[in-house]
Amino acid sequence: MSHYSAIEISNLDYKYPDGTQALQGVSLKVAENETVGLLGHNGAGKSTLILHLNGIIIGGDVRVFGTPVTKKSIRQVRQRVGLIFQNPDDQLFCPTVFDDVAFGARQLGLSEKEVIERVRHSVSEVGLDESILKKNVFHLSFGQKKLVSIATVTAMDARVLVFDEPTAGLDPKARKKIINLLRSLGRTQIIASHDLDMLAQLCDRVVLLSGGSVAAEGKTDDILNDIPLLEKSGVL
Amino acid sequence: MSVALRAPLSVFLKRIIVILPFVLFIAASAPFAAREAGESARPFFGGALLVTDRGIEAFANAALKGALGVFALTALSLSTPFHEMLAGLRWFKVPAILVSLAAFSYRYMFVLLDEASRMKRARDSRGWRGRWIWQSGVVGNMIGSLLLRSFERSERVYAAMLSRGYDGSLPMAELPAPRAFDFAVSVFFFSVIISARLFLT
Repeated sequence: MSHYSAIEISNLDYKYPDGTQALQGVSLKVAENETVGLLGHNGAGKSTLILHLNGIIIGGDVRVFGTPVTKKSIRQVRQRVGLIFQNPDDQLFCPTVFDDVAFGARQLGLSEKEVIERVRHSVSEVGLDESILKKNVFHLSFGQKKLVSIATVTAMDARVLVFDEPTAGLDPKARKKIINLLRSLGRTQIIASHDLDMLAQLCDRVVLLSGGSVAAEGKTDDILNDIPLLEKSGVL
Repeated sequence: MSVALRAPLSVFLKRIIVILPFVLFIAASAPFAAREAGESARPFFGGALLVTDRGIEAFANAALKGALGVFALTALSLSTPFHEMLAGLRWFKVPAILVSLAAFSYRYMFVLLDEASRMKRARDSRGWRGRWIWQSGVVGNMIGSLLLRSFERSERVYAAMLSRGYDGSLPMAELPAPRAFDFAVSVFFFSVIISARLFLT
């Protein structure tokens, strides 16, 4: 796409309204088509960091393909960066699966024909049958809801996919399926998780967060084999 | 009839039987409310209750209207998937905010019920019996925390909506195009209603 990094964050601080310092001096660079793991204990700031990536929280120096995330650029940023939230019941809010997958694409102002095409393509890309489109979200299994959640952002043609705990709560089979899917999806991926095994299988690089700051970052093997570091940071 | 309902008649009847008593109960207050001073009335229960003809008319009126409403709503909800009903409301130019509200209520009602039953199960598995009046506080706490959780969930859902470009409008599936049969049925019903109005009064 360009010589810009897909994501570039420098020296980001964030304090929640109640005074909790969630992020402190976080810098992060993710190249296009790279898969980066965000590792960290509960409360380390993974989710807060993720919310900055497409402007749910605006503030600090966050750039997406070189464009600073501001109120003005928000539409463009949100089309490029898709968040997949941990709980699919938060992500999926429409009466039918079709409407949910179509939601983002429709917000982009595409024609209904184009929307339908994208929905079909996204649903088959995540390995679901088209018959699921007519179903009520409530009737899906947890694993199916996860897959539909992913389709809802790929239908927007997002270039960067950000996952919050993609394997949490899945049985081994569904987990394997998601891991294989992430591998085959391509694009730029940022995966926040403490599923070390999954990160080892998927990520080129891992960024370790601890207490709101970057404790370490490097090649996946280097970070994941540093047992004392992982223990100290509360992820092992 | 069950073809038009897209459900067995027994399901229709069961649903009506659940609601109908409430309608009748509410209508039953009508005869007593509609009496003016000096109006002649029939005594009931040895004069304990006085009911006017106008009151009986009001009762019949309210009961029939209520029952008809229940029939119509039950038939509609059985024959029409919810998302089509929403699209229909849209077509009737119901304000978008109300349609969205209905859509979200329907979507999250099940999630909320699920959550409530999980809380209840967790509570009961810790030996709760709910026998004593002072334990009723527990139920209050549960309702309160359900409210807070829902509130927080709504913020997460909203964040998820924003992240997919939500700007205030909720696009929905379009209505299926009406068939000739639908037109025929509509014309039939409207003509029945209009002729009843014209010739029966």
